[in-house]
Amino acid sequence: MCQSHSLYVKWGDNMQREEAKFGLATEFCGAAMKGLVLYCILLMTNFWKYQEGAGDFQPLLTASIVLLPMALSYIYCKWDNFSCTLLHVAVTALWCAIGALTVSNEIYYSIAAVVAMGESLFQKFFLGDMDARRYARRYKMQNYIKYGVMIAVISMIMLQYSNPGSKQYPVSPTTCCGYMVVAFGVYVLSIILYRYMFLQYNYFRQKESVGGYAYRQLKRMNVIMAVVALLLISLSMILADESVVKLAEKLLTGIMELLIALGVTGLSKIKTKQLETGSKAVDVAEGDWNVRKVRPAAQIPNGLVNLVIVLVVGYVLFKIYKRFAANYKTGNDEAEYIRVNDEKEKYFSTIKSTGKETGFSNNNRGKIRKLYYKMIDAGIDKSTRSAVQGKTARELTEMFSKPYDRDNARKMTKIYEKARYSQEDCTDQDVEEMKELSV
Amino acid sequence: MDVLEIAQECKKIKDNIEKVMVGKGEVIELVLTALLAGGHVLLDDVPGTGKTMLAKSLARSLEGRFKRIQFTPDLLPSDVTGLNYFNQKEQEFVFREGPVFANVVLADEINRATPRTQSSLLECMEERQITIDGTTRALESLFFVVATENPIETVGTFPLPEAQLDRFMMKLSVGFPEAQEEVYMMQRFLSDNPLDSLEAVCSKETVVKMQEAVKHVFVHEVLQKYMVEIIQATRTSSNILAGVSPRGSLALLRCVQAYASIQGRTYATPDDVKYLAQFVLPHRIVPLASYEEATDNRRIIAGIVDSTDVPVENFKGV
Repeated sequence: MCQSHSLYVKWGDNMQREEAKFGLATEFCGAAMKGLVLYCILLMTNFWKYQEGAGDFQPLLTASIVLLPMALSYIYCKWDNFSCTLLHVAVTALWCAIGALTVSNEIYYSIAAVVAMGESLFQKFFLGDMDARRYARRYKMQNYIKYGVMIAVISMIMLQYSNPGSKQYPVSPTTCCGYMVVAFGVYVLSIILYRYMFLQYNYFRQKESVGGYAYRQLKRMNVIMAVVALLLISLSMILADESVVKLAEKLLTGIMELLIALGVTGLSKIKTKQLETGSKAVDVAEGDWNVRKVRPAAQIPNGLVNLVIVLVVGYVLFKIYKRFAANYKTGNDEAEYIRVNDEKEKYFSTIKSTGKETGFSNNNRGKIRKLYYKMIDAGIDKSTRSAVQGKTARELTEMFSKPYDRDNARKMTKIYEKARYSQEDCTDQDVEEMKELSV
Repeated sequence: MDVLEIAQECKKIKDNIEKVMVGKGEVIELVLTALLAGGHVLLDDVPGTGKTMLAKSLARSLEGRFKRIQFTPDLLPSDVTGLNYFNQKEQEFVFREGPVFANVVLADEINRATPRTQSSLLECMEERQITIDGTTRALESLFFVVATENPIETVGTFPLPEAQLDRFMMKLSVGFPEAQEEVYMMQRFLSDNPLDSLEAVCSKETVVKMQEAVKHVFVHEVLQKYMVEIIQATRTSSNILAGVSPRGSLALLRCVQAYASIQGRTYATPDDVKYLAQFVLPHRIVPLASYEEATDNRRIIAGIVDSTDVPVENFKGV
């Protein structure tokens, strides 16, 4: 009794210490990330060029362009989704009306939307977050509205349709692509660090969102998020290549020509750039993409290499997705997920697990146990699941709803028992056999 | 000796006994479990179900000395343990060994003897020794008591005291055979008694070796905790006056080890615990009820076992 009490106290102390450490680190990373985003947006709005007398924006306007989305983003975190969606629509409409809608604003939102979607997917697949799934269904329509507004606004900017009175240059498709790609890379890179710290912090605060999961799952998710983000960045850098951008430009130009032909835009021809009257007006980045002349023959090997890289990166992403999607089958309303209970978490070596262990180690024994867990999850009928508690492995096997699965399940149970209750080594062959039987 | 050898030896003994006993494979296996675990067995069933036959068949299957004691109301402790008598020719006291100085002892209808006589078995069953007139004598290294009792005929019988019951590792019922099994039995006994032609298939040295070997069967810590949880539940249950003793915990542990080795496994599983608990624990508890109702102990234990969490995986999410 005394020992368990002292362990509990030790666990509590450790939690507080880790929470304080990660709390500070999270604040620091959050501030750094926001600064990075701010810098990125200022860069895109040619702020420093204005200081040098070459830019087009007034400082106050730039500040509003930058700060309003930031404030909105902050409110996003505090309010519920539906209110935020309404607010976003309202502000976007207002900005359109006053002609203050800018490309940087919308780029920021687009990236935020992409990252938010990515995060929810990560949470869904790597943590198996039941709440995330439930809420995803609940807020499905709201998400459609939110992402729909973003896509619509970006399209309007590219078509130079919604903000004819804007102080900023309407941008060409090429410039828009370039901005998007670079900003996306920078933002994703910055968010990796922030998200890592944020998850750690919430974990040690035992927040509902992540506090109930195994620490090793959290770490694995962070690592995979980082790998995927880096792959996405490398992909975005490849997309920024001239040949790909030109391809995108042709595609967007084609869409615009189609819309002009249909009379939707009210324009008679596509504007590649539009300089504001005044002595300080200068050409912006758009020229960089168009002016450079490359011989068509030289583009072929470059394009092939890019194509190969895109395919490889795509394949790796696909494999990662498949691997984790396989772990979380969505056949039923409730899917497999692994939670830990309070002191049963094995993060601190001083805390010993009692009886049931919920996290599976990465060795053969752990793999077999995990496969068995999945077999039970898949094989037992929903109606009989309430009777699972208090049953042995063999009894669980006999509860299988489909009799023809039972033979395989019995063999799997035998291997599982060896892995769970014996001292004998579990070989790769055992794991392979378990995998074959589980198919 | 490894578990495969133990499993083979046990199969040999089982097959041999099954030449006489038809359709009683489960009971035979449980008796062998108690034998390998170093315990003793109490066979509790109505007359004529083959309790004595089972004990005799087991004794015949093992090389060693077999003694039978018919417990009667006038049986004295010295009739069980032995006594010092005065040899007038030699002019000295000579010790005459009782039937407990054997390898397999059949204590037939043990509840017909008085508690005084029944208690004479306490020391030898637990400590494998006997003290008479201040002299302690060790029993054979292989010492296995198979006692039988009749649960329905209570007139002129003396229920076994708790201390005596606790000495038995398992309390088993042989049960009636199925119709088809009874036909087979008739065919076997048609012209001859197969017990007469039964031969020993295992030496007592081998049994002792097996008893030592089963102690090396691995019982995972989670299973040990699982067993303790069950035992603790018997002590805290509101239906039970006296729960299972620590001797009962050790008996369950040993039985689990022995049973796993008979199955050819080097490790025990929760199924072993669950299965054996219904034979090892019921006679060790004293329920808050009259003696008649106490025969339902097995149901009380089954309830406790079913309500105890099994150390499998955490299926809360399933």
